[in-house]
Amino acid sequence: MLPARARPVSVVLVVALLGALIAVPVGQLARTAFASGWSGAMAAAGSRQAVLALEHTALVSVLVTAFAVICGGALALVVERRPRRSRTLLRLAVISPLLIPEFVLGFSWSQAYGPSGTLDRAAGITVPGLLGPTGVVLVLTVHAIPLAYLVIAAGLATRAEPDLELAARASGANGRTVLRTVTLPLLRPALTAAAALVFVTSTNSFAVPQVLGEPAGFATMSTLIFNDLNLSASPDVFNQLAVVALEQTALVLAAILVFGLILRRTATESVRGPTTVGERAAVAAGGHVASRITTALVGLYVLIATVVPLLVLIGVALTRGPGLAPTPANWTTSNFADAFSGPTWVGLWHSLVLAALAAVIVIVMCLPTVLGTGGRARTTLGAGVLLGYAVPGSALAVGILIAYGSPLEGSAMIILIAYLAKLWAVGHRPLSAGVDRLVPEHAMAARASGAGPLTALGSVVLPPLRVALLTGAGLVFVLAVQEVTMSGILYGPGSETFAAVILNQQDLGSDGATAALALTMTVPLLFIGLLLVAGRRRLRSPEAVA
Amino acid sequence: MPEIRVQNLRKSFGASTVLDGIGFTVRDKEFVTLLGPSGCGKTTTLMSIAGFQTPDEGVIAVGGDVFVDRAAGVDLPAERRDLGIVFQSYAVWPHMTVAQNVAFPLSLRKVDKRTARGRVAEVLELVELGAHADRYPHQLSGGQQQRVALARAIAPSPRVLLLDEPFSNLDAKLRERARDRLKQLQLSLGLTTVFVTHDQDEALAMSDRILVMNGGRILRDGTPEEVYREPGARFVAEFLGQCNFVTGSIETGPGGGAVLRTRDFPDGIAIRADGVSASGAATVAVRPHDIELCGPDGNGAEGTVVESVFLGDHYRYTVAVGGARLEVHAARPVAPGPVRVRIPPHSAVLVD
Ligand SMILES: Nc1ncnc2c1ncn2[C@@H]1O[C@H](COP(=O)(O)OP(=O)(O)OP(=O)(O)O)[C@@H](O)[C@H]1O
Ligand SMILES: [Mg+2]
Repeated sequence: MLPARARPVSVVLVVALLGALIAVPVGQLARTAFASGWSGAMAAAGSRQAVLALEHTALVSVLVTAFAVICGGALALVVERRPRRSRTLLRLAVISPLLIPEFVLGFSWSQAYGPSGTLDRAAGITVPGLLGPTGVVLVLTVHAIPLAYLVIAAGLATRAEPDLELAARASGANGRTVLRTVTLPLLRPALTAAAALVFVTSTNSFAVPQVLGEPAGFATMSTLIFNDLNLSASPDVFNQLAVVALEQTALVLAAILVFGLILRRTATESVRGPTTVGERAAVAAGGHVASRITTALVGLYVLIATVVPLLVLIGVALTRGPGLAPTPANWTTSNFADAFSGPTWVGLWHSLVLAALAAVIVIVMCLPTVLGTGGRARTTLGAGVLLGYAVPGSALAVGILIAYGSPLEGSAMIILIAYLAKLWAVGHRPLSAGVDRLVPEHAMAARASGAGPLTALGSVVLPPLRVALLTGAGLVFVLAVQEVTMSGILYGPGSETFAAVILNQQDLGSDGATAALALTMTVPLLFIGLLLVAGRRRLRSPEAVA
Repeated sequence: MPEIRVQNLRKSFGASTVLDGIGFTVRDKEFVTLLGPSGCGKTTTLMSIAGFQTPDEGVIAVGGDVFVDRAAGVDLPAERRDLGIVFQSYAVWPHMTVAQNVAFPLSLRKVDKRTARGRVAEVLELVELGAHADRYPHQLSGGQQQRVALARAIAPSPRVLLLDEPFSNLDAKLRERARDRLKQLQLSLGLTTVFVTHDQDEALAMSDRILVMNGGRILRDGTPEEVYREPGARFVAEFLGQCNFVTGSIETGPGGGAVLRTRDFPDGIAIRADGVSASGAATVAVRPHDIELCGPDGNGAEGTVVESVFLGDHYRYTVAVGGARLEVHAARPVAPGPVRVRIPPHSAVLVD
């Protein structure tokens, strides 16, 4: 989109940024991991703690991936094939867990369904094993189902058009045969992509294992790195941590490689024609009884997964002292007063400023990649940017600490660097999707009408990207505000973020104050999340570009 | 002897009525076309026969089997109706080769492998795709994909073939060839066929019978000639090619036939129709190529050529006659200015 002259400059710029933000930290991490040679690294990797953490992480990731892809896929099949009207609400219901910060989801589940949680006291109901591996897998699955759902639903929309299924029905196949012979084979690439995304996300996840696993002594690689870093400052421990962080990075990259190979094998070209009967199929797919049942099931799921935990969170935030019933007699605002003493306001301020800065800078960083490069260069650089997102937050934070810690340790600046490295991809995706939909002739027509390159950019290229730009910036903001893995590792006295403050509150065991803070964070984020969902829809609809 | 019987189909979406009492029959080996403008309910009717849409009311039966009978609560699932369907989008499965696509309905009918292979080859030969059996759909052109869809639909020798605008994604040249091929196949295989289109030429060229639809109703049901020559309704006349409409009042003419009296045509317009007994206000339809133009000294109504366009095989004139404007197609050139306009006896038909 930018004139050819700008291309080499853009490429150099993007490569330099990728190097500084991702390659250097990961390289420094590797150097530290091997500081005492191959044998030292091997010994660290073979320590009981490290082996257990690796096993736990792999187990959790495999299980969460399997469960989330199965549930997300099943939900996508029933919800996306419903008539348009009843679909919107169901979709929103299904993706609701994604709109809640991972930490808040874990914490509110523990408050709702954990031992001596609200439901336990009220009715003796607990989720067995919530504190421990079962709970970690369960809540991570709840959080990952929407991710799988979104990927698979997109695959359904672009690959498995209803006509293809109707043609199979007309050939004499019953519902189950259609699923086996047409729908699932067509969805294989989407299922693989969903599995890759969920695997990476759960391998990298920190908050849920920290809240639900750590109290039961169940450590994953992320929580091991975080907790050991906070416990000890000895260089030996640090080198060991670097080994674990490097291992975690390698695990994620290996998984991406494997999924990528599977994806290459399963991809078959799709052929597209206009569909005749798209909406009709939705009506034909399920009878009224079946659709009532799915509505009821989705409703029940959302009730258990998000509504009850959030209500409990509100109850805990508003109730005096732990163990009291959340009745009006026990209501108080003192939890909020307690919570907002100390560094909380400062943390909130830091988080807002950091998130806003990250959103703006990430979008600026995206422009040369998506507009200033083309063809193979753009694909390769884009892949580099996306890979940055895959590097586990804990590993990235440790790498950045090693690389840039000596002048910047404990400052807000180093947290900002970490956010830029991690969230670049989050801005990149919607923007590059938006650019893919641009019609190159528009810019050419503007140039032919006499517009200079910058005028053309401002007048016909960027305006149709407005929704994409806002979506990208919004996503970065939302994820930066709730980010806790990296800021928890990188903050120093005077540079704490809001999320780190909440994590500390929870660590101190003050449930009321933690709930108050969690609620303060969640409500605005839910609101922005809903706006982003609406924006995403516009992003996909053709009039967003037209 | 598959005969399709459709009775009193009704279907509404919310407040809008999409099918408003559709009824027709299709005889064995007959090619029947549902013709009508966009949104008139053609696809909805076809999909009701196929089993992908359930009408609110009505009966659909093929041969002796009742597919749908809302009053009796019968609604046979699509996969048990034994029909062949070609969709407008073709819906060729992208993860299967051409041969696999065509073999799929056979395998569902438990045809043994050897027989199926033979049948696939035979059908692909029929649609001239024998050489492409092992290709994937994305390696085919649009026209070839369309033929795969057709081959897949006819492979299991279904009782009835249903086609929903199968040629609308082809360019004009290909469309004509595809049309001829389908008609030949239909005749040689003796397929009972329901075809949906909004293209009048397609309908006229291929059909044994045309059902003209509008607003969820069937306005006219007849052979192509009948529907074209005696449209019966103004909408049908207009939908099947250009048409002029003249209003006046009906009287009995000198020969005993009906004549339309109108100020612009002093001699009246003789109406083709037996037993027109109505009198009073009426409208007749006249095709542009039925109207004759001659020099200002001839006989007929006085008119003026106000516009002329050369269209290759004919000229199109706009002629002002009194207050009305008529479209006239003529093979030879006519000078602009005053002319005489004649509507030959029996080229005008009554419409309502
Ligand atoms: N699932 C649906 N919900 C609501 N309205 C529908 C639905 N399916 C069809 N309709 C409406 O029913 C009417 C008839 O649709 P149908 O697809 O049968 O028309 P058609 O004659 O095939 O038109 P076209 O030539 O454009 O394909 C249209 O007005 C359409 O908007
Ligand atoms: Mg249609």
